[in-house]
Amino acid sequence: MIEFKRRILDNGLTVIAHKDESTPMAAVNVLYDVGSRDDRPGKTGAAHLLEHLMFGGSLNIASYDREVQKAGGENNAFTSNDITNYYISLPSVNIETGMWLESDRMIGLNFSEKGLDVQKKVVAEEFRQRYLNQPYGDTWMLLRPLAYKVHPYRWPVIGSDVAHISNITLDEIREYYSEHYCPSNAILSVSSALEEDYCLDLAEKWFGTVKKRKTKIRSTPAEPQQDKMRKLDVTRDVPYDQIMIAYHMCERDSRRYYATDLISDLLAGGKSARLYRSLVMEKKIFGSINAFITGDRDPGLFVVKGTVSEGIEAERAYDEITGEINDFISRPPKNEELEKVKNKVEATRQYIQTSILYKATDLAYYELISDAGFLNEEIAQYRKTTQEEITSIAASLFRQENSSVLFYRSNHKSKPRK
Amino acid sequence: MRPGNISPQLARLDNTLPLYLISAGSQPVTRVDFIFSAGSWHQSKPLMASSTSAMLSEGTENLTGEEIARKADYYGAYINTSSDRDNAFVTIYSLSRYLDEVMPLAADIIKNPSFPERELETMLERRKQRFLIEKTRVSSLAREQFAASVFGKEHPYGRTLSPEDFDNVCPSGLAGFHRDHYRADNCKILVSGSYDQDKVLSTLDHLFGSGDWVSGGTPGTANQSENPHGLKKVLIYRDDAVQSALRIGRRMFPKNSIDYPGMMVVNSILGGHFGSRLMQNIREKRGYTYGIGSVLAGLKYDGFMAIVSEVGAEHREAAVTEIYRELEKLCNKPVSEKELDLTKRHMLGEILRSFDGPFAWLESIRNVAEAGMDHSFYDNLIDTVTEITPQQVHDLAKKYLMPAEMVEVVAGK
Repeated sequence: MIEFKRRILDNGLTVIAHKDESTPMAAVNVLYDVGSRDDRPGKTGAAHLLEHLMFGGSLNIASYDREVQKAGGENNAFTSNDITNYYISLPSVNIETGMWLESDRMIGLNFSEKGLDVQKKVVAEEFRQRYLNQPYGDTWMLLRPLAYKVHPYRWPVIGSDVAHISNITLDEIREYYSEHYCPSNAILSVSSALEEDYCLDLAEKWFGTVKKRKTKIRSTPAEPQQDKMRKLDVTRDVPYDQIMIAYHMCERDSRRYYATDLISDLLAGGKSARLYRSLVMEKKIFGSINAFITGDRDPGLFVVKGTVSEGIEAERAYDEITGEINDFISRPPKNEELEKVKNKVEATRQYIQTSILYKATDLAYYELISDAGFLNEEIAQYRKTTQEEITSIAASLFRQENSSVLFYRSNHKSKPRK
Repeated sequence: MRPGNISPQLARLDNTLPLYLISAGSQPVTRVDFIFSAGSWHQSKPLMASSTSAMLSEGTENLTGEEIARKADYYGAYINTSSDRDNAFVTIYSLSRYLDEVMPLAADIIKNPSFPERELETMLERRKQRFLIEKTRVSSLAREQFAASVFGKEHPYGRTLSPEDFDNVCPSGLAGFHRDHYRADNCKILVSGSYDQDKVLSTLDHLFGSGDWVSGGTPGTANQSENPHGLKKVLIYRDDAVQSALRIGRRMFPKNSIDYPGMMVVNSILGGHFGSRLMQNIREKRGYTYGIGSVLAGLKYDGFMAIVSEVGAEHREAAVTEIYRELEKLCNKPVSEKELDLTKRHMLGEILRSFDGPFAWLESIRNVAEAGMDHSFYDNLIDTVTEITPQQVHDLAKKYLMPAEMVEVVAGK
């Protein structure tokens, strides 16, 4: 049970405080309800580029990094499709430094052409390092626009093209900031051994002066239902073929989310899972296979991804996956198998919660999607998922016309065919 | 800013196997780690150490690999095996209330693995696939060549693998390696979390405290060659690379060396964190890279330091020039009091963080236990960080970071 207290400041900022007596550290987490979904077509990558600029100094702070370092802190951030999240972990005696740093960059940033220029270069190198200069690095660049035709989830968080990023102007990024980095569009969460009320008062002290601003109202086009299987074939300089299949799944706050998540565990969560046992260990069709959900707020993707063994045709490998999936629908998990994945979800949650940083981040995220208190109720949602739900959701999820398939083929000529 | 009492409680099983016990955290979970001196340093043929470790959970005299996985999953437990240059590890995460069910599984895979042939073959094919994919990354190519250049290709820390090595591993070799190295007198156990100490002690004593897995002989030691240095400047050319992977560094010393803590400070100033000189210059000022850092790796018998980055191929020359300039700066001019003070604060925060929570604490103790040291390493480190002067930093830089001493590997173009 994660206990917490909440306060909503006059400027609209939501503050969550959680007390954990076992730690000398404090975690300060600020979540902004803005992600790559808020980028404009042709200017994709703006949310992520802005995340980089958030470290370039703010109204009263010349160097964010130096101040964090002075306080013995460690900080980072991530941008997803849905959110941009910033966090600092520092000795709890310095918690106010964390609040000062975060509130100052909520008030205003030091935008400069020079800073923007350098960060565009850094992001271009990030783009190369993660997506271009890696084997199989561009799979998501290919799969997203295959699965989504309308919804902004069709481009990757970093942007779909380096040119988009380099075309973003200082005025545009300034506008992006003022439209989305408003107190009412943010959630601050704090975990430490300090009293919750004391932390809420500190938040009031540091963030209370941030001016109320109007957040841009989001209107996201819904992805129309897919009615035909989509297929993309590419050949690259990689040693093995890879297959990715993406099925449209439900939104994050749907009751069906839990069954869908459990299905991914039943199929590929660890070494006792079905796809691993059958297709890796018994039939040796794949060297590795995985199934996972993106879990986005709007309807996301259920993805199966496998690296094909030497000598196996990609088409056959694809048939083997769909065969296993059909088998899953006709031969649903028995009690013990279902119990196993539920136990694993529950235990894994406990392992994760040994870190106050994860607790702070989770509290903010759950507050965004429904209510921070929901963090404590979620296990019950998994627990009450029945076999019938699993089977019926699997049947509607794994329809062929709901799938987008990427065949990512190796050009290595020497590859022997069996 | 100093962590509270970080010393684990020490105990011994009936067969004298040492135990390090940590009580921490508010979640009802426990992590247990077994450390065996059974890393690749100790092997006589390629892949023996890592294959032995990977095969532990693939079948025992009592259970198949699938049964082991199913049982562990059922209790929500993770039983992971791994190995590195010096050691092999078995790591267990479990809800504390299931330790009595999970620990017998761990005992079975540690003491009675059967190395089934079919599973071994599958495991090797899978690892070969991973290996060949790794070989297409410039960062992997640079890492491998760097180790070979620093230690020499015949040195246990510098050896490289070839695809054929995966075809020449036999079950009996692994069984022999297991018999020689996975012994109570070659083992340490670390326990951390929120658990009933008496109960855990008696469970561990029952499973691991007997004399039946204490070795008679001594484990074989590595054939360490004295051919330390390979090529100092290497370019592995990759025509299609849009980025080049860089590794610039040199051979250093084992973790228990007297200069290790001081060099951690020097390394931190140079490239140990976001505010460090390399990061601020190469990334934040020039935008040549997404990330750059320097690592000081103290192993049990030796060590190295390496500046690591992937930079835009067109910036490679300029980036290398700037890296050497940063090294020269450290060697030519003492660091200012102000910069050193910032580094100290950052490092002390880092040390505090590394003992925060039961899993992090265990890992910190493991990081020194695996090199044959104990928690006093951290007391010493904190003293060094607190007391080190700009002059001492300068002396260490001059002693170890002269640009002429560096090995330089580029993979890309």
